Formats: sequence, structure tokens, C-alpha cells
Amino acid sequence: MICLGCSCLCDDLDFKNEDGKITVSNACLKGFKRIDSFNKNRLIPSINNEKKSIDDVINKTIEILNNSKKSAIFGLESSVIEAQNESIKLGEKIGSIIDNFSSVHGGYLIEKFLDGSVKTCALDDVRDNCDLSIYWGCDPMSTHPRLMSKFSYYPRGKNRQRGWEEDRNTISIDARKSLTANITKKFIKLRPGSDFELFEAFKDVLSGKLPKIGDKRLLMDVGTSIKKAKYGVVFAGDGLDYSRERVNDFIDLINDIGFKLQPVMDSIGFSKLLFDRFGFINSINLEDKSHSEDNSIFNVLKSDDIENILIVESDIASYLPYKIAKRLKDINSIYIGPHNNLTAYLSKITIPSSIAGVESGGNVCRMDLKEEKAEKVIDSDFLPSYDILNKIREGL
Amino acid sequence: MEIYKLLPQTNCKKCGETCMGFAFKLLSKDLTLDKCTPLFEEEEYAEEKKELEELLKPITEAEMTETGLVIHEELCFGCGNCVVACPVNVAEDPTGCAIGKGASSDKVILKVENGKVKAANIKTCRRFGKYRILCNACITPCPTKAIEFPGG
Repeated sequence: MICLGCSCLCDDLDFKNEDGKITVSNACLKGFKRIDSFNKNRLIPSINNEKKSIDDVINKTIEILNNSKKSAIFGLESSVIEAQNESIKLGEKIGSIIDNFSSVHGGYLIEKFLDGSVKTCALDDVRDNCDLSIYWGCDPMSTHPRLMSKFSYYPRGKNRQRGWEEDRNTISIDARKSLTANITKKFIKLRPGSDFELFEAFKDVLSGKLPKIGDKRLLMDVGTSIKKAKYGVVFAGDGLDYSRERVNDFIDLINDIGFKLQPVMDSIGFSKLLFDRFGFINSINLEDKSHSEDNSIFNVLKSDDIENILIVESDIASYLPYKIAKRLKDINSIYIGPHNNLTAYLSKITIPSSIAGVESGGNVCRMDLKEEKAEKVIDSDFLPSYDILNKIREGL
Repeated sequence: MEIYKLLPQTNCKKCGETCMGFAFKLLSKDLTLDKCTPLFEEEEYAEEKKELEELLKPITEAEMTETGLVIHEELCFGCGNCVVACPVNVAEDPTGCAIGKGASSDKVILKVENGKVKAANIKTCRRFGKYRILCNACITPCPTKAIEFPGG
């Protein structure tokens, strides 16, 4: 089976179900807990914290959407492509705003990754060829636990037969000694937001000058490894948020050293879908197909004229400042998802759905844009989120 | 030696061993600390006793295989770095572990199950047997130090 725990989409899981007790081999703890949660902390259909039937909550949602002038759809980063397509169709029908998690973290990087301004690569090629991986502002050991063991560092590849000990080199660049930095061969510590100083230092080193900042010996050493690398990949993450206005310098640096970029983030699949359809990755007004910063979840919740928001399988309230997240209580917020969380707690209407990739199947997109097919492994009475979205659209 | 330094070092042989011998037996789990009666009866060793209990905690509490490999399950999050890095796993499972996939053979030493790494076939580990070497391929890639060989 395929694991949808993060955007690595590990396809080598072995699933056994013996009288309700499940055993999953080869999945990390993050993936296993997601599969194991099929009978824990499940959401119940409710309106204003009162338990209702699933048809009641869907009908109430239809009523709210029919009567509202300005609405928004958010989330879908952990949904299957079918649900993402359904949400776009629904958004087009009601003329709503559509946004995803990339407007909160890393959208600027995903945009560069998708628009062709930097070289990209398939993760299978990374396994076969990569000899230097740089983890810049990301901690895949915490966010994507099997990225390094499955693709980037530990496995033997076609052209990297001697594995991590001799054939591969790793550098971690972060504000703190993360779990990833514990196992990489070199670690450069940065102040948050001072990435551009390191861009300059690398440019100096690569053009044969001494760097002006930091540990000069370490930077010279890293510069030499970069020059020697035959197939280098930069894995970039949320840490670059603090230098987002210098993202063009970052892309220039990657292109100058001839490396490839791979953002270590979720929500890349839905961003690609929106990018292919509308030319923008997030914050789109589906009424006139326009993009504006005002359409991001943060600004939408700040504005006064928003009447309702439909959140699909995304615990966005946990990531927003309390003052903004609290706004979900004031407007008509509808949450569709498998489990209870802070967003569900703040929402007026909750609609339970099946766990994608466990209780329902569908197509999914890996972080390097490869499509995989997830299968259903456990039977359940919960409706998949795409069926719920379809019912809402047809009822309008 | 760390264990020996904390023992009474009187060689009273109440446990049937010298203090150095007792230290080795503690490490290999052949004897338990309560066999050293002076440590428990005499007050002057109270501090040493406390330190010893702290020192031996990983051996007594963690799941320990017969050959000394300790896996701290509470620290492990199943990233599988050790599974892919272990040279025996690679040799036994060239189409699975060797290329980054999960274990597909029964002969592997380390395998991830329910999000935690589990040890099996420990007799084939390079640290044991006639031609043993001080291999640390599973310890180095662990980001949380969940695997250790307390015996050194």
C-alpha cells in the first residue's frame, strides 16, 4: 500500500489486518499513526457542537453556500487529486476564493519549482545519481522521516553503489542543530533571516575569494564539495521563509552551481493542479480567475466581508496566530476531515470523511510531481471527501 | 570500567565474583545489581548505588537482544536509516533494503514494524561471531541515538 503520511508517498508498505488489529511494516511512525488512527478520535457530524446526521450537515452546508456572497475554500494538501478537482469545480460554481497551505509556508519556493526557473529532478534519479545533498532550512528527519533513507542519502543507487559512506556527501544549513543536522556530514548554523549573507559567502568561495562571514574553513570546505559534485540537489524548506524577499538570489545561486531544487513541503500536488489550470499556485479568486495576496487565508480571515469558509482536510487553525484563527468561530466555517482537531473545534459545521489512502483510494502526487495510485485497505462507512464535495456541488 | 569504579572494589566475593568480574557479569546481564549485598547494606555506598542504577538503566530497562543490541523504542520514529545502512541487511536483501525500500527478506537484522525498528537474526550481525568487527553502521545514522551497544 501507499502511505499518505507525508509527500514522500512511500510505496513499499506491508499492511496486515487481523480481526481489527493492524500491523504495518516499513512505515515510519508518522505514517503508521495515520493508518492506525482509523478508530481513534474520529470526527462526528455536527452543527454548533450538536450531533446531527451526515445528510443534515451536508444540507445545512448547501443552504449556507447558497445564501452567501463571499466564500472561500481552503486546504486539500493531504487529499487525493479527485477531491482537489471536485473542490475546484465547487469553487467555480459558487465563485469563491481557493487557497492552500502554500500561502502560509513556502509558496514562493513552490512557484519557482513549478514555473521552470530552476532545474528539478525525480526522487528516483536522486537515489541513483545524487552525490551531494544540501538540506537548506528544512528538517526532513522530522517532517518527511523516510526521505533520506529511501531517496537522498542512505540507499545504494545505480551509479552510487558504495552508498552513503563513500559515494554521498550531505550538508545541513539550519538555524539550530536539527535531527537532520545530527546525521549530515557537515552543518552550517545560521541566524534566521541571514540566508542572503550565506548566498554572498558561497558566491565568494565559488569565485575563488575568501568568504567575509562565518567559519571560513568550513565554508571553503563546503565550496570545494559543491565544485566537485556531479549531481547535487538542494532540498529547501520552511526555514527560507525568513528570507523570502531574496528568493531570486537563492534560485540564482542554485542555477549558478548547477544544482537541482526539491522543496521539502506538502501541498505541492494541489499547487501544481492550480498552477496548470489558472497559472497561480494559491490565493485565486475563481470568479474572475485572478490572483491576489488579499485572497490568502491569512488576509481572508482578517477581512470583514468573508461570510463562510470551507476547510478540507487541513488543520490550518494550528498554524495561524490565535487572533486570526479565532475568526473561524465568528463566520460560518465548515470543516471536512477524518479527525477531530483545533480547526474542527473552532468550526460551526463538521463533516466527517474517510481517511484518504486508508479508507478510500485515489490518485496522489509525490513531492517530485510523480503521480501514484493509493488504494483502500480498510472498509468504513465514512464518505470520501470527494463524494461529500460532489454532493454539496450537486445540491447547490 | 565505569561500572567497576562505582563498585565497592573490596573483592569480598559475596556475589561469587571479584568486583571486576561482577562488573562484566552485570554488563552481560548474567548477574543483577542486588547480588552485591554490601552496596545495599552499607550506607557509605548509597551514592555509588544510585549512580550505578542510573548507569545500568539502559541495560535493565530497554529491550536487549541476547547479543547486546539495545533499541530504545521511545526514541525511535521508524525513519529506517539503520535498516538501509546496515551492511548485513544490504547483503541479504539487495532488492529491498539496499535500494532504500523496506525489508523484503526474512534474513535481515533490522526491520521497521508499526513505526518502530525491531531486531531479528542478531547472530548474523558483524559485531558478533568469530570474525567480529566494531561495526557502527546502525548507530551513526540514527538521529535520535535510539540504537546502542552498551557493551562497547
